[in-house]
Amino acid sequence: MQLVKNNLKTRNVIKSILLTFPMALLIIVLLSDGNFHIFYSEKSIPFLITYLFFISSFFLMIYTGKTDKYRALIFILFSIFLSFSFIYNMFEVRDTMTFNETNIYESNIPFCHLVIPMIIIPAALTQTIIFPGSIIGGFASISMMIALWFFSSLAIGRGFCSWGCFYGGWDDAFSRIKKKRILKYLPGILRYASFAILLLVVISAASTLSPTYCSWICPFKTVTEFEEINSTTSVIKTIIFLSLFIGLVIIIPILTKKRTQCALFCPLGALQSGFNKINIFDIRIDKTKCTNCKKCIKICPMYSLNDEQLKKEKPDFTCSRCGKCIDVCPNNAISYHIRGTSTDKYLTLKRLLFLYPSFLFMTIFAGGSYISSISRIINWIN
Amino acid sequence: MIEAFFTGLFSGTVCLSSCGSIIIPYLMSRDISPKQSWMIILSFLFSRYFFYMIVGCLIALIGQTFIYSTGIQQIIAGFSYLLLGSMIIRTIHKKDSHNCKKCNSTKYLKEGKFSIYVIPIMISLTNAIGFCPAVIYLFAQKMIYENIELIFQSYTLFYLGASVYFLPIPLISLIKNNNKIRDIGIIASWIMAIYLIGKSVMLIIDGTNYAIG
Repeated sequence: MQLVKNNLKTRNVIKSILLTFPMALLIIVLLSDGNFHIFYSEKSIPFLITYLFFISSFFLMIYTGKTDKYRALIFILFSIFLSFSFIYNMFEVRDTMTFNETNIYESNIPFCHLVIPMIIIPAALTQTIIFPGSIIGGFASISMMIALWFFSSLAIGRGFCSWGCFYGGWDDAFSRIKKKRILKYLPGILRYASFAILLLVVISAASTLSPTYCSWICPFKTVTEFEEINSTTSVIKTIIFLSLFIGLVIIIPILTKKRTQCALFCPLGALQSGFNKINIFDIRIDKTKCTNCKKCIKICPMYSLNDEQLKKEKPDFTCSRCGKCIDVCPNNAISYHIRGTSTDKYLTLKRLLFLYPSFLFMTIFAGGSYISSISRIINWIN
Repeated sequence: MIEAFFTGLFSGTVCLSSCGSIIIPYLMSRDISPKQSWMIILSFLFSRYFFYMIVGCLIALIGQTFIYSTGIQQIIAGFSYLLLGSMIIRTIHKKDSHNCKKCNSTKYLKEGKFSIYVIPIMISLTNAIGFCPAVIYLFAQKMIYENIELIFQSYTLFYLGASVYFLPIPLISLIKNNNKIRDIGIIASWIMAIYLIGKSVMLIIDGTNYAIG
């Protein structure tokens, strides 16, 4: 019996190593940008740490069959590292976390994907991108960012919010702090609040030709950069974004164990839900296996699962494919699925087909921040 | 004269976004038929045309310099925005839903025959008092043409051009799965109402400071 068990374990390890191997090759190319001189540069140690961390996380995803546990670790650290290296860089270059009009006109503000819903209509109507100030010089990076966002959204839909967005990790981290939910009730009408915000943000951005969400309400200015406080308006703006960060990213996620800002507030998240409709991947619930224990409803961080959705045998279109419900289901009734295929066959293959592109996108988005933050930390220690 | 139409057409997106950000959520939040949606938009467009003209004439009579320079315009606009914001909240709060205890679900109430037109007409009045660019266009025409007939012809064409963008809005009511759309509309209306109240407070404070100082 023990021998059979050991044999199975060894087989599983070998199988996981083989399935991780293609990813190991791809990640080495992506992390080094195809430039293998990185092995001889001062970034070789941060590169190696990042590489080993990513590849062992992927291996464990395959070996243990758990997705969310290892995804969340990379995802949360990504947000922390990005903010750390961003703020560090701000202090190196500007000596402050604030920006002023000169910085805007000199295109010193990096492009952020949250601005995407606001730039679509003005770009179509006036052929200008309304991100703060001139974008001359930054055009290539903006095009790159938009292309990356578009193709990743086509490939994994709203999975972008759990595998690529560099702000989502903050919400995700705070939603995991408490073991039990303190605040359980959410008025049903609020489930689609982010769509209302998307609607208003798009209209107001088109009318004022300015990124109104970034200027006024983006909570993540707290962990990146914000407008210089030199007028009543800037004081009001600061109060708004700080309170939104404290409320939506820290306090409510701790109390509800849900990603409140991502699920109920983020306009890009609402836009991404639309991509879920045209995406080949989704998540399915096998009613023959489901015992209606409702653990998935309790744990879903995006409010995408409820009794109604359980009856429909799939989460709502706002699902971010984090895999939390799949991991928690005691009967393996929930699984990654490819549209047009049967729900009970090739489950492992379907999971792998989802994991490969998702993990690759996560590497593309997160890899650079990891390397730069780790090298900064090493420099700091030295 | 045709230039007026094209001026309206090219600047109409501004009208769509300033009035549209209130009227679109309002339409989404209501349980109404496509026909009623068209009627709401038409009543909004006609009342806007009507109120802009009245406000334009009033200002021409009283004298725009007086109104602009004393902070009165800001105070009046502030109070009208406050009224509009409160009316939206009242409408949404009163009519969005009620809990049906028998069937344990939320039922949306059917709209009154005339009450659905109150908010659209109110938006027209408020934007007229708030000196929407179209009202200013009316002034500008007064400087160009001496003949009152020409002023109104030009203004009407400008207005028609600017109104084109509002015509597809009622198509929202054709979208299936209306409960989700209605929920989004209700929340967006709430946000707009809060924004309008905030804006009104700022306008009243600014106007009062201007009047005192």
